[in-house]
Amino acid sequence: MSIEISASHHLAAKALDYRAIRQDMISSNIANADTPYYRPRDIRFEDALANESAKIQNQGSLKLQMAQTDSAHLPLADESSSSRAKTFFRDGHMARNDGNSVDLDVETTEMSKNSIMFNALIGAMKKNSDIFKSVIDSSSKVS
Amino acid sequence: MSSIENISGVSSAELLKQKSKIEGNGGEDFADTLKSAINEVNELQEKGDKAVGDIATGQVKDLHQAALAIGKAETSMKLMLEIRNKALNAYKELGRTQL
Amino acid sequence: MSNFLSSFDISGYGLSAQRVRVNTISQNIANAQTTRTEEGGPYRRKEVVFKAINFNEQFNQAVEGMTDSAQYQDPLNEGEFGKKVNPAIMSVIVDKISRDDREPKLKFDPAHPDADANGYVAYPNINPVIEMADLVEATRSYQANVAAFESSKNMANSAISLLQ
Repeated sequence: MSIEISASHHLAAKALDYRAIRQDMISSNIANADTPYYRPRDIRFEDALANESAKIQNQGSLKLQMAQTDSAHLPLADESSSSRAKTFFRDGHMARNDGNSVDLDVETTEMSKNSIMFNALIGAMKKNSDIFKSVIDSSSKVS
Repeated sequence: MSSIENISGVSSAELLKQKSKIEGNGGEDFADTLKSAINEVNELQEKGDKAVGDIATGQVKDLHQAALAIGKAETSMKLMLEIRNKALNAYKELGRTQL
Repeated sequence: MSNFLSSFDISGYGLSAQRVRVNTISQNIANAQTTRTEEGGPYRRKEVVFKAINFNEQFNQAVEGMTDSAQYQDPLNEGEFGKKVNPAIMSVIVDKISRDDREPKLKFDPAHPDADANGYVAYPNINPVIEMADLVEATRSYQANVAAFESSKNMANSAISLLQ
């Protein structure tokens, strides 16, 4: 029997991991803002976590699954139902003269958003464990 | 001078008649109130949980709504725990009455 | 290997690289009128070349194990379709400080001690306006790296506050 603080605790912990990796990737984009032939990278993990949370909360997948009516049929290699995050190149505008295509404004914006969500997650986890602790501590107040 | 009425002793039969008059008003009894309170706290906890899940998956529309939901969950849980403590203390106090 | 503290390393390397660049640009500006050097001839303009390095291989392997990499769709047809994000996290170092070997500017001044046989003096091919623009950009990159460092520090502190 494992003691769980709350159903979303595990999800929030994984989200914190991914946000820390994303912070590193954005820092490396900013550090390489002048390196020739560098393309900015990013990581997208919201879909992977949404799939996991649907499994946890038993809501079923948000997409209609393809039915396999015969075992000889090939199953659909569904990208969107995997629970692994995706790294990708965040690009779309012309590289500058030295082959670099990092936009410093976009990078600093993404970094602010990421750190706000990180702090929000930490606060939410703190509140959850506070509730859990208060339940444990409350029995000591019964004289 | 009006007559002074005798102070009659309290008979248990009269008390029983009064109790059924109170209950007959259709009020809930204690067990139902308790159950609905626990259900409410449980719902608020689940909403708070879902808010944390939404923040994690990045689907949250308003960060302050999520923060409010989590705050409500915490407050309602702590309130219920305090009420439970008081009720238990009162019960124990009653048990200590000397007969 | 400390994976969590490596985010400070990334910004630290970036700060060092930008500082070298600022020093080089200052050197260029200071020597804009230098007509004689030890190696002979006027001062040659110096330029830094950056390189992205994979400084924490274990970390990148761990990240690769956790994620899938999407292929680059090459929206502007730059000839890089299908490239994968590997390694995921890189920092920057100064690869080399190259010398600008263009022809120096020649000015006619026979009275100058460094004038050659025809009376021309070779001045360095440095345009102060370009150097100032480069300096402003280097400073901006430096400040962006500082902001990244502050943000990482903020996140680390808030994670520590979970313990309290």
